[in-house]
Amino acid sequence: MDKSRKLGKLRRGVSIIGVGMTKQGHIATTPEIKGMTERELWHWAAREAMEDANCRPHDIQAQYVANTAGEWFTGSFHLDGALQRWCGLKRDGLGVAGCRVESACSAGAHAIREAIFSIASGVYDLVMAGGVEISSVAMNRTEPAAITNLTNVEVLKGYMTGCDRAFHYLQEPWATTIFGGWLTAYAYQYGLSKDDIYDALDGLVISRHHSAAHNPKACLNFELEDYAKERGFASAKEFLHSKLNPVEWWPVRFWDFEIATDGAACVIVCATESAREFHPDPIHVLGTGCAHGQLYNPTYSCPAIVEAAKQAYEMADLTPEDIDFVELYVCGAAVEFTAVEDIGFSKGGEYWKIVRDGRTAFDGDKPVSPSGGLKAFGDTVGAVGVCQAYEVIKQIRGEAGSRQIHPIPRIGLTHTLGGTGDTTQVINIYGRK
Amino acid sequence: MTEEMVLHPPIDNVLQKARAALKEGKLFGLKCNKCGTYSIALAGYSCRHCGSFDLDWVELSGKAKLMPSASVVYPLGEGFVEIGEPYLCGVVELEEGPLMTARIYDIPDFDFKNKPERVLDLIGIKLKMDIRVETVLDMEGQYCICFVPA
Repeated sequence: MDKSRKLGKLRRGVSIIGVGMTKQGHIATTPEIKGMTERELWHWAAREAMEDANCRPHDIQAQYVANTAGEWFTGSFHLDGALQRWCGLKRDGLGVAGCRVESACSAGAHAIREAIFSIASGVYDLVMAGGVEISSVAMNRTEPAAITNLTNVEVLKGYMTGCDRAFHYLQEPWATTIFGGWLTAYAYQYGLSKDDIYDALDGLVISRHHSAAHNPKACLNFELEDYAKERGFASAKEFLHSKLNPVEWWPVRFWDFEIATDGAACVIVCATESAREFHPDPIHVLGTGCAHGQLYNPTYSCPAIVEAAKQAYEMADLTPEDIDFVELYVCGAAVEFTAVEDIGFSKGGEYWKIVRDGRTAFDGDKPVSPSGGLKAFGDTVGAVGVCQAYEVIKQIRGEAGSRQIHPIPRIGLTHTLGGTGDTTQVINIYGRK
Repeated sequence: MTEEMVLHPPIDNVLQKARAALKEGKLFGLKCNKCGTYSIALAGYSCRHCGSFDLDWVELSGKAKLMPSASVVYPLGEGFVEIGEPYLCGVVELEEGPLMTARIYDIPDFDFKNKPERVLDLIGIKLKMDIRVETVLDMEGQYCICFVPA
């Protein structure tokens, strides 16, 4: 079978009828989630999603839970079995179908895809899909609720266990690609100067914080302008060019990176034909695409993103011009420029100017990551794809509070990237038909 | 045990063979007998173009050029304390065609502190392989495929 063979459509409609999510933060310090393990985080997200969907645990037929680095950080695998006991799915010793889903940082988007396919096939009608992750600290192996603090380098070691140790790991592909190299390649392609690069990065960081400041569930929910002034700087820009923001992977600086967070998110996925029995305003799954590839490529473009987007657009019968906003996976700022242009949300060579001019915040004319993105909302690793779905559903419903995009969007796209050498790219499109 | 009972695996110990070669300063590739494409043996046992398993072991030349994805790495510890010397890391294209990522050393007059943007001027330069023992995160003292200007 040729891999370019046209993919099929979903055999019946699939909708999202409930969303839930914890505050994003660090279980050692963030008041709302302090001292929680994956179990309490999952209970919070799953319970909120079921309440939002007006369904009960008895209605759920399967559970797909994304958890990426449990073995490294908390000493657990097969967490899905335990988690069914924490959200009412296992009763009298009998639970529902499902499994843990793992595909690096794209795991959550895959969990949603598993739910989509299991419903579209006709096997199930109502499925819980979500993700939970703790990656800011390690949990003590002999005292399950006790925390061991980690340095940033130790956290990085944990993340990079997703890299192929036989080859990629020793060649540091993260440095040459998503942490820095993709932006160098983008600058090379379009002739950006050093000042152009930093103007774009400044605009990116300031816009993400502006969106996150309006998101109570974001980890760093403050305006960078305020943060800088509290520390004696005249402006956010002056702070970003200070010694408090050193370059780590040129051209990408410390504050251009994501904030790694702990947390959980959950969505309730339902057959469209019965969705309104539970929720008056179901948001539909319009398309989904997925492709594996590699992060190191001849140019700044990533063919796996292009392929995943193509699949999702074809399934949805949409073009990039139909997309009102996107939630983007950006661990290092270098990803942003490649991903947005590979998705087609901006034309080649134009996006850096849009970012520079601050037009990508929730109140701009080209909204990207209105949640605050991985930069300020947080990167919950396995849960990210579900956090992104949460934001997209809230925006389309018009329930995003003070960060609501106007006019209220009809169609949103999530891009989720997994891996640091080999890569999995997932594109999901949600909206109203 | 009769001869016909001995199983003949369809693959040999690819990684052991390729890793052992690195210690001798050699980078092994796999040449596809179907389409002629070269792959890096460490990267996987199938042709990177057509997927064929009909492959011959070959030694790669180690000649390469720097591609546009490149970055300067500044190893920083807690509190932004420098914990190592900065270095260049980039995507390289081997003379035989495969892409890989690698550390690139000994760039003449590269001012890591003041002019990291010079990396943009280095795109396309010719490189040669220089296998070195490195530590990468928790993998200590490993033979890594590095490059220097040709």
